[in-house]
Amino acid sequence: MSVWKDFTDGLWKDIPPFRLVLGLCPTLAVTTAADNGLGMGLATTFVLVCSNALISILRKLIPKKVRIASYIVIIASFVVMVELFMQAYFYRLYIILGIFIPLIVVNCIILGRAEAFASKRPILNSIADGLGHGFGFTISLTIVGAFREILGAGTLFSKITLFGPHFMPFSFMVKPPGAFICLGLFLGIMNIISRGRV
Amino acid sequence: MRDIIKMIVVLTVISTVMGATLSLVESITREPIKFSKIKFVKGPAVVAVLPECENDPIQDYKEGVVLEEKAGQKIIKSIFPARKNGKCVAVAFEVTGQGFHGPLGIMIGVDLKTGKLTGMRVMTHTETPGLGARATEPAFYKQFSGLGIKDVVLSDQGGKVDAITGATITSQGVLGAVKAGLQLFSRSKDKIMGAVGAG
Repeated sequence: MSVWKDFTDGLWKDIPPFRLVLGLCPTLAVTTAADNGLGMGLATTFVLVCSNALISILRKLIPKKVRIASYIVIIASFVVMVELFMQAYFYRLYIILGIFIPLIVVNCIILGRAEAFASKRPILNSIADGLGHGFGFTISLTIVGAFREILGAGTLFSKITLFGPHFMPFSFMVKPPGAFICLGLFLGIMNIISRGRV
Repeated sequence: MRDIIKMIVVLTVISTVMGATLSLVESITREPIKFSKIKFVKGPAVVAVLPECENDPIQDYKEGVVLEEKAGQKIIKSIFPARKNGKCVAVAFEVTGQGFHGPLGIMIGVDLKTGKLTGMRVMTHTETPGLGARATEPAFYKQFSGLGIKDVVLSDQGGKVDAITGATITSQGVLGAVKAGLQLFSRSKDKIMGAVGAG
């Protein structure tokens, strides 16, 4: 039961970019389209689950004084793996995400979950926690990406055209300032929804 | 003291294991990465310079074909064949030239029977936008289709290619590279034929 709770926590109670307000760099930078957000989210999920699992296995072996160094070595290795796989099988996505793939290493969600959760809890809970937060992050990024793409380019997942030929794209939304405004709106909506609940 | 030894051992072991895993992943993905780089970087140019064909030239490409060996200097090219009715009709390969600011990466397609160009695209360059960079525009590259070695000369020197206005050096760089490519093709036609199985 607690495993299930660890999983669902990441999906709503501390959904990463909106509730934890961590990992904002990719949230702002790569969400110009829904599929970019989805790709980035899945890459982060993979790293998060793998690093959570490994850190949880090693939690009793890693001395306290070098724990951050150990976590970073583990996280960075998984990030390089993701980068290699993406280059091999999803080259277009690799070109679009560019520098933000290696930057997953310094994504605060991953180190944050390693430090706050995986280093203290058994492996199953850690995997559930990683999956939950990873999916939460993926869903958030996809929603932000979809919102910006629909308004900014009039398409969804780069394929489905939503509006007729007379649609004038609101290209402000796919530019960096649009990302800030969009994130602000979503944070506000999340606050309204959850007011009185927490 | 025991603490320090434990820290050193743990970090060393973690780094070694992760390093070994990474090198394993790298060796698995090396070939697919090479292929997707060719497909997405050179692929569009390859398809553009070759005539219509029934195979996938990128899938069928032959890597590292030694075309010439002179005084220890080897000329090695990757060759993309285009097949029609089971026979190889044209090949594409990359040539490099010197532009105004830096190297030009050019893909040319050559008809196997006539030795004439089926197309030309400038893939990579660092030329000035609006001047030399116009070598990537249809107005320039379309002139190359169907030209033989003798025609690949600027039109004011008796050839069939109009230079880009204000970018004579770039134009000449492209022409020189294409011409060298055609000469290489005619010198080593047999080896190319052998490599793509057109014998």
